[in-house]
Amino acid sequence: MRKAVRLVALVSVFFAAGALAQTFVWPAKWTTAKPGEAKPGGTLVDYTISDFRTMNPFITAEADSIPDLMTMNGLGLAMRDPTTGEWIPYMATSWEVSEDQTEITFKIRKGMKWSDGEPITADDWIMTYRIHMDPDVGSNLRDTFFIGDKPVTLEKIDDYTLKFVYPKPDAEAFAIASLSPWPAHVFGPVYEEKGAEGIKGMWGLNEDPKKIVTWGPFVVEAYRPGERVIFKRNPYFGEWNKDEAGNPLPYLERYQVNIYKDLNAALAAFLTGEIDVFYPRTVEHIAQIKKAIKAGKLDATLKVNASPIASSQFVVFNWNKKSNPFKEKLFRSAKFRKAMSHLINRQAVVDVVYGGLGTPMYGSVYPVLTQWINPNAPKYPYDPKKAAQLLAELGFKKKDKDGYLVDAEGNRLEFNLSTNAGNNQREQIAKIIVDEAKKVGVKINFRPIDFNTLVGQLLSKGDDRPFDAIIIGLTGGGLDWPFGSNVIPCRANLHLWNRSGTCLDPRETLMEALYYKGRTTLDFKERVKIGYRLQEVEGDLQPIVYIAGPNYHVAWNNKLAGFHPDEIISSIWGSYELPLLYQAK
Amino acid sequence: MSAYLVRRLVHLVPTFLGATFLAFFVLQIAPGDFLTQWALDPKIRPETIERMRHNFGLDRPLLLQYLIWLKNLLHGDLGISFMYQRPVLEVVWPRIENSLILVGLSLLFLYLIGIPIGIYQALRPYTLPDYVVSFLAYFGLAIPNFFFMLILIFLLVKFKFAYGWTPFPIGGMTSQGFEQLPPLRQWVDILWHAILPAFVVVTADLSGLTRVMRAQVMEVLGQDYIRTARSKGLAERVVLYKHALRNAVIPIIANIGGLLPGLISGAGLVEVVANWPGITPLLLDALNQQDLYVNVGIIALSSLLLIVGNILGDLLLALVDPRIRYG
Amino acid sequence: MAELRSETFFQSAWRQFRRHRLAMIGGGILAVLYFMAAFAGFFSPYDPNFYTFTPSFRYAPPTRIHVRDPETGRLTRPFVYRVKRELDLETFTNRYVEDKSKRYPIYFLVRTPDRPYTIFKLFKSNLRLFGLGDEATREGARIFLLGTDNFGRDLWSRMVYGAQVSLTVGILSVLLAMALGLLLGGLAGFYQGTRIGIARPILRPESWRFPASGGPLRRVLALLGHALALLLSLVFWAGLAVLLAYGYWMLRDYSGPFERVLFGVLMLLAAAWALSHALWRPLSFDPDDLVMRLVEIMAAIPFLFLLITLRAAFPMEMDPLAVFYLVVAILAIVGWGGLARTIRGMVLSLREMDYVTAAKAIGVSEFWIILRHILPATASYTIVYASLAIPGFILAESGLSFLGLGITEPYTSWGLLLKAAQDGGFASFSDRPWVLAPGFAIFLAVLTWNFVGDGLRDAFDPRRRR
Repeated sequence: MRKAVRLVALVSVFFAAGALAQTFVWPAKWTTAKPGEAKPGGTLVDYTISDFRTMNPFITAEADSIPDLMTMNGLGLAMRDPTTGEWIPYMATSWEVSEDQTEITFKIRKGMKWSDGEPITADDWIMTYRIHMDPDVGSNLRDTFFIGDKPVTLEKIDDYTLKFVYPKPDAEAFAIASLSPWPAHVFGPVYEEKGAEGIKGMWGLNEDPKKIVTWGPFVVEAYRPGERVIFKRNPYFGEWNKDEAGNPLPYLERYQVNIYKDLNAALAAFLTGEIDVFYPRTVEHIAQIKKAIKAGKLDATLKVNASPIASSQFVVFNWNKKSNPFKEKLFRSAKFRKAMSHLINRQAVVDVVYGGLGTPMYGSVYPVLTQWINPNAPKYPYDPKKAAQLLAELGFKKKDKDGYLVDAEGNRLEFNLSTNAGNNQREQIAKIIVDEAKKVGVKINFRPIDFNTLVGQLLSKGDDRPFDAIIIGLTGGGLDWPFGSNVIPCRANLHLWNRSGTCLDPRETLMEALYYKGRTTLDFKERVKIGYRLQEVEGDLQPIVYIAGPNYHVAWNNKLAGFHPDEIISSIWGSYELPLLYQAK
Repeated sequence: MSAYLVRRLVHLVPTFLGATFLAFFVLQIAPGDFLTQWALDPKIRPETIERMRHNFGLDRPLLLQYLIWLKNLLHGDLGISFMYQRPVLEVVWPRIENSLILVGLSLLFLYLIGIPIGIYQALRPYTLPDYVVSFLAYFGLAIPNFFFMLILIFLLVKFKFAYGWTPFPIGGMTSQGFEQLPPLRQWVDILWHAILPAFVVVTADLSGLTRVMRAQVMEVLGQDYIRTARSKGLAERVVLYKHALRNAVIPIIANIGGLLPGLISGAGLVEVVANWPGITPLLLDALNQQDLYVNVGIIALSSLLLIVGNILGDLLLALVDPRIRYG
Repeated sequence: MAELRSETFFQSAWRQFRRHRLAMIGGGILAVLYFMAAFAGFFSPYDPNFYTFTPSFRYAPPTRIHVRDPETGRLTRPFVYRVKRELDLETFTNRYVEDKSKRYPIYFLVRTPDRPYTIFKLFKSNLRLFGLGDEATREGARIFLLGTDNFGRDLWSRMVYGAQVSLTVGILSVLLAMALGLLLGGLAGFYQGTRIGIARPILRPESWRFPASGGPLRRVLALLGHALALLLSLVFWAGLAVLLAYGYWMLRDYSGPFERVLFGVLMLLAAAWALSHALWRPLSFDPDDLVMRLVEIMAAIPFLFLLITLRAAFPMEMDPLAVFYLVVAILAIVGWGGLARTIRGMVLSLREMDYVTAAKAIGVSEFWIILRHILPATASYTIVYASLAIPGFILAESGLSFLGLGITEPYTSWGLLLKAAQDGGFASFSDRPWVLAPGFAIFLAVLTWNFVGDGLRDAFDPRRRR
């Protein structure tokens, strides 16, 4: 980590000589563009599938929101180097971690300015933090400032020094500290005067774009409801963001994001050159783009199977079924769950549901997080024979007249499976699971149910919960510690398989202990080791049976250049660094 | 006449209350609420969700929520959109405007095409042209609109590949660089975008209108007064336009009021496929995410317009048809 | 008295209908479609959910049927070859290559003991109109008339089975909508102007005067009935009072001072109104008002909105068959209003007809009048309405499927199949056009139903007879 810091610092000193600002230099290794090749000007047109809801950073809740777009997904004091995954200072120049690892002191970069020309200082972070923390504002970020039940606090040392104080050492300390600032001179007076209500009333979608202020590379120029948002270059950004040749960034003059509720419309727009970037979701999209490129109708670059996506998809069995001891015993048996894992034809799922472009999953760590994946964690791949053998060991040896397995007491091996209705892909996955299970004599009754009902069932507490098995997915695991604080601990609310409030299996207890141990270990290598161990225990317990997920693909129009090199195109790093893109044609 | 108006306005109250309450009720018996979607987000704590639920007033009894909404309505306040954290009207209105353009244009097309065709058919019933036109009108009716729009977009992409340009834009409502255009050009641009989706909307309604028009004209042409007019030696054109048409369009005019709520409920799924930022995409979002007040607000506006439209239709009818008097 | 030989109303209508050429053609096509749907098992070579992963037939094109012997070039019994799938990683499309080593003849009226089916869920059979036989199926040979979907299921078979849903959805919804529309519209029209009491005023002497005629049993029954009505009235008034008080109490906490006064006044007015009715003035309503308000309310709510909210209001965790009936019910609820309004208008004028007044005068019961005199007069309109509404419902079903709210697997419908095509986007047009076939089926059904409806209207309308 320190090495990277020094490198960047060196470069910045070299090029910043004579300039007022302490410069951040965007490394050339983050882009495919050759140094000095990029020219200023031009527009990038990207797209999103849901409408924007607000320009207000404190009440935004959706992905790809306007505040996120203006700040490159919420960059702040620190950012990650996509080539290494390590934290490097961004709006800070350096930091210091205290001996007991509960305090981090940041030196804020000098000479940064808001898009209205005001200087950026420690006060901006303090105000941003205060507003996020106000429960009446309802900021989505508020919960990220809590570790357990205790809040992380933020102190101003001087105008250019900030100190984060954590209740205990935390693996995600930098993720928390990378908070993106918002102008205190805009939000502060309103907050002091009218409080949370005043904040909530600011920066709605029909706010005059001239009043929107950001530190980021682009600031809102215009918004058309349900259609698009257009950003223009923030000239002050270039004062402290340069490329290695010393040119101010961003290169692009404008950045536009169109809204397409229907993916076919987005594909049409990409094929005809109206948008410059497209993220194909299906093999059909890819085939269409490929065909257009081949026919010479579209000059574009297509990266297929760039990486798996960063989310999980699994079957969870309910351990809390007091009213049905037969099923409860079954679902609590790791052997049974391993048998079920053997019954999931992941290759068929990838083939049928994702058109051959997907990745099987065997554990809670997303396959895209390669440095975290323990290759030796136990796996139970598709193997109906092994499944039948495991089920026989559980006592299911005979078949009844309908061809389903029964145990010695004549209980038929049968359970209900559901997923959220309207999710086509999950319904197809369920169909594959049901049909494969039937072949070995397991009767699964599949029924899609309403999403909200499903969530209600999943999150219900106690020792008698209303479902048997559910197919669902989770997103949002971090690079720092890819296990969910809401998932692994036995009392957590997303401990989906067992919501009795206590650990029922010794392996659950062990997983919980390992989770907390990893979370408070700051040394990365040490943490990865703990993560490996956790995955082994998890594999043996199989609390959740993972299925498969689609892959991440991206295509871009060649009139733009400066995208990531192939190694760092992924569902985590995306396909470009916005300031480094430029118009080539 | 004024007594009639007053009576209709009095009728407005129970219909309005009924429609909004029904909407409220049906929306709230569906499981979960706006906040349920965050429940599976590992980053959000359950306490936070409970607090938000309280802030939004979603933990109150259903009847109370409705009463409070009614109370706020008296101030002209339709409530807050949970998704946008903004007053409902502010969220909904721009979308309604967009839908109005599309629906208005398609209505224009509908009457401009439908009425002449209907008359033409009525003048030559049971002939080949009559059959061909009926068939074509049914053709449009029989293809689901959302699918038709997709076909057109596909054809446009093909056209673009073949010739490098397109006669119509591929979806959306405005072109790139719209903001820099002078106002007149802006309108031209929007209309240019609206033509194709409006056409698709028309295809679904055309057969209905031509059918009514054809039947009306045929019936009127069979009436005694037409025979009288003809026997008086009036020119066929005069007979047709002065006597027949005027009577034939009466039911269509009576129906115009019924179109008003249609104006704000938008052009339906075509808007989604054609990427037209109208009310339908918003409504679908709001329904999906259970954004209660947006939903109820749209119902309230639409029921208001329906009633106003009905009254308007009655008045128009009285204007065209002197036999009709309201007491 | 010599009876003149004359044709009945329906006979003459039929004669007229037969002269409408498009309607006759449409009727013929519909008859074929419904027949195929009824005997779906017979007309489909495979089960709608039959697929295998080894070999996999994902998006296989329609199977090529050969009629010429490859060696002699002479006409021979139609046969197919086995096909093998290759995923072209260059273009990301599937390619299917014929394996010409063995010919698989197509048999007609073939038995498939491996894969039996049922007719109307009653009779078991395994006789199919055409197919390759079990032996060939086991060897991996298939005949797909219209290609396959992403699972490799035979689209032709799925369409034939989907017809069962799509074609009956229309008819069942119309029947239900008609039942609702006729009942409510008829009641509204017939009883317009009559007032039906809801609750009895407490202080009015009639409320307490018990009937005192007839035998002892009748008197006891009447007394009981009276007491019950009175009790219900009291419950009604008490309920209303509680509701008002509750509303006031709850709202008080959420109002400013001025509003509180305003609400006080409003509540007092409401209470005074309720009290006057409770004590003295009978509370009654006109059934016509009620029904017409209901129709208006339904009309005020946008169609799409109603479809979606109603669907969301019902639990999703239902048997797929129950979902089917639910879709029917939702479509009917959305569709009955227009019919009710028209029927009401017709009944309003019908009840003033001489023959109805005459029937009333000689003491015919209301039930009989409605059944014998009023409803038959609306029959021709209703039939025409039905035939023109059915295609609308078929389209509405496809719209529901587009939104993912329609029929669910393992059942299938044309709407569901068309949605799959729509989701495939442009690939459906350029790479696998056969998946558009369900769209064509919808098109055909809607078109033919409209022709039939047109013919029926002309046939029933004496003024349009030629």
